[in-house]
Amino acid sequence: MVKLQSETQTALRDLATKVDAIASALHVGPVTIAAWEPAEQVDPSQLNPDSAEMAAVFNRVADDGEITNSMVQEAALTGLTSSRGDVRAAAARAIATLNPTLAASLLPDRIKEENSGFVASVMLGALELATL
Amino acid sequence: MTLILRKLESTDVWLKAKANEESGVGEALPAWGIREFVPSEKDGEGLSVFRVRDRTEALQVAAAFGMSKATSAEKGRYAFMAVEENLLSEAGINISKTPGDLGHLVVDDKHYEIRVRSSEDLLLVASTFWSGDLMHFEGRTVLKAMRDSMRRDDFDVAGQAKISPQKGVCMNALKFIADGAAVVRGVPEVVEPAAT
Repeated sequence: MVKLQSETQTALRDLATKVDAIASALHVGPVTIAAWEPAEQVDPSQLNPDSAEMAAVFNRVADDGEITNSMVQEAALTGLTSSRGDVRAAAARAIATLNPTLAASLLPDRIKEENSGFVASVMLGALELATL
Repeated sequence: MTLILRKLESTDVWLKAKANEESGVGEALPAWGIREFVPSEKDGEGLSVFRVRDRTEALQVAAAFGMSKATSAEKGRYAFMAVEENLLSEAGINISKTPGDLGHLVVDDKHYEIRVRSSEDLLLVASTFWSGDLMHFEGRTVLKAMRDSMRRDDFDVAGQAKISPQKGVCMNALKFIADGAAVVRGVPEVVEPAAT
């Protein structure tokens, strides 16, 4: 069952991020916002691998680092060969976040083979991240 | 080769539309794509762009934007459309140098403007950039570039904070200072006491 975050949860997550940054700057320990519930784990097998929803899940992995289960990495590896460019790009971003070593070995060849200049550019950015 | 960059806000939508166009199922320039090239009310007719030589300099521009973000700089991604300068001039689009206001001393010097006076200007600028390339950077890559810039004292953080204390520059700068990762202009470096 996939449940995407509501706008309220997204706003609370952003607030929690800001509070964390301020707490870190002031050398204060972890601060919890009680109303914020971390995102549910996502089962990618419930999603169409060639869909905008799948790209959105991969982008959430890359942007938030909240979804980290092994099924997502497997799905992202499959996503690299999706017929949709946005899915291929997002899959590369997710792999760079979940497993930088794997991304560093996979992405150079994927970038060479990629037909879309836009997708290749996103993959290049993911490769840079994986090799920081 | 000299590139002119325009920062994008709707990266996901651009990516989807470009992928569709490249696979032959999308429009040449979707109507929404024009929005990225409408100068802000604050800027009047001047559309902000940056003149860079390569991807390394483009990353510096992303770092400058990262410092002014109201949220953690490492979140998300930074994307630009990049076109070769000669393609703009061939299309009859001129750029003029104007001071940037991102607080990054190197990047602000790369700031230019394109005058967008009419809907015809807007369409021409949007379609020319649409034919360009994407430059895409991950937030954590930009974060590292920000740290490097701060170590070089490229950011006028103190000056920016005075201009707009509510801007994200304060939060992101505080984080760097707390990490001991940066010496900020006008702010003394914290020195750890020597072990006894």
